[in-house]
Amino acid sequence: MAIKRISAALLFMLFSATVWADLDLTVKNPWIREAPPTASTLAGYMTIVNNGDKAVNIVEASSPDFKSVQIHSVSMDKGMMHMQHMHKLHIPAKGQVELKPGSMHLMLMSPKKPLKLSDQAVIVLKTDSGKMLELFVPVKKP
Amino acid sequence: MNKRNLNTLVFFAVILLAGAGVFLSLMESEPPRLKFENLEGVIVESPPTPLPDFQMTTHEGKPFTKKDYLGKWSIVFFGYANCPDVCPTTLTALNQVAQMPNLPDTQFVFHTVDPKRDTVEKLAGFIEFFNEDFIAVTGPKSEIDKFAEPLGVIYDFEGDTSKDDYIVTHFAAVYIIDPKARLRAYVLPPHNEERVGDVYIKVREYYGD
Repeated sequence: MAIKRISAALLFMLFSATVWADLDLTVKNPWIREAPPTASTLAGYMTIVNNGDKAVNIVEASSPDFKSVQIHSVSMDKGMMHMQHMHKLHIPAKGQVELKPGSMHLMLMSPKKPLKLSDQAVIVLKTDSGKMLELFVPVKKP
Repeated sequence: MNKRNLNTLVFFAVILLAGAGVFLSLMESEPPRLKFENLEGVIVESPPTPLPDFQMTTHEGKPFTKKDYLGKWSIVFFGYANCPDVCPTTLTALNQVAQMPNLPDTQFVFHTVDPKRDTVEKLAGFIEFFNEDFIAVTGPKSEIDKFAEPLGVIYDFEGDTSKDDYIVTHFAAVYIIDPKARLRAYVLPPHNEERVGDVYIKVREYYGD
């Protein structure tokens, strides 16, 4: 039993390691904004850090817990708030990009089940080199 | 100068004096514009802009008209319940403003610009999440447009509006409405408790009831 558990843990570490292998990205403080139970669109935030010497582009975001995920930027033009779907999120070498309220965010559309405070959702970021970054993101109050 | 010319002169003099009288009485009721130094994106309306007549419905299904803006100060925001980032950020800030210990009695109203998706039921679940005392208001598009136009609220739909996941681009100011149902000031984003609360209290103290 114990051996099984250890091997499962090892397997998980191995799997995580492959997911993360030669990926210089780390994600700090990912969270989903707690939303009304009726919400059909939520927002996710995080700081993406690139520890590598090469810039990385995130070209896709997805989630098994939502119908679709888009990376959005927010801009204001004479008081009009515009959201743009970003097809590429550029993380400079040795740099970081912050997704935060009122600014860039992940737009999480049509949750498959209602998400309450402290629930977690899985979000997968895909880089331009085809690598995947899987995140467990908790629902929090701002 | 003949009599006819004299009559004309008197006529114009009377008009001029009457005009000056009206002008002076307006000047008297409207103090110099309140200025906010070092604060960008805060616009004070002087003279204030009256709200139009309109007929809408609250998230509790009650009628909501211009009369509901009379006799009290209000803080107003436009948006839509499916808005993932901008509207929740502002409503969270407004909830903090509502809880400021020194805040005088204030009505908070959220006007949707997306009546197709924002039914009375949907608005109820949405607004009560932020603050149970806030009022959310919807109505026919024609009424929303009538209300939004003089306030300069522009909005636009992006994406396929026959589906359910379109985006609404909208003017995202927080509006301060005086007890005579007139727009007194508005604050552009970013919205946080300090910025909105401070402007609101100063506007209210300066212009009084």
